Amino acid sequence: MNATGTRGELLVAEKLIKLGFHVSIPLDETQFDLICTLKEKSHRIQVKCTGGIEKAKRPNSNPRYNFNLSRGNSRKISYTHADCDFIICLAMDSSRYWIIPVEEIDIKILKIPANGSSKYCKYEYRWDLIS
Amino acid sequence: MIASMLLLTGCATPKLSNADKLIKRHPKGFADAVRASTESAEFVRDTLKTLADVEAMVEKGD
Repeated sequence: MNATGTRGELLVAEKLIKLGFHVSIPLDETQFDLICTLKEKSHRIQVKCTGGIEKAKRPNSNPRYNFNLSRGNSRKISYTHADCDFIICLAMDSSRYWIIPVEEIDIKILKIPANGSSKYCKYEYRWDLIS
Repeated sequence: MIASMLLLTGCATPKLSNADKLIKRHPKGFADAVRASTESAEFVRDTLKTLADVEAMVEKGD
């Protein structure tokens, strides 16, 4: 795991614990980073993070957060329910979180406009989905 | 659900969860360590993973 990924994973763990979740770290190599449990309901969490906003290449386009939602080095594979239950995306510069059910994700690069709308904006701060 | 996760992960240490006890006990210390540098974040991650490994061994009775 790269340094940004490690830090993002820990920041998400910290946030979940503050929200009252019990957080476990898987022992073996898995496709998820954390297990969070609340009231005997558990979910496998894959964490994706970005350092900050990327400026749009095209003029008049919104700056956005980009998250790589695939795994694998040479052949990029999308996450499925076999890998995890939720993907939590974290923008580290602004502490913004998107809690997205894995089955809702049908793309490999998630681009969320910083000040705009996208299909995935509705998942921002949706901690209730894993409660 | 937890049982199926345990099978997937080997053991997810649901009984002895000292990692989040530590984080709850030292919230600022944990937050500072995660944010201070790449190396400190790696150290924290490795420490939590090691703790989880030891907890799993204790639970198994090794």
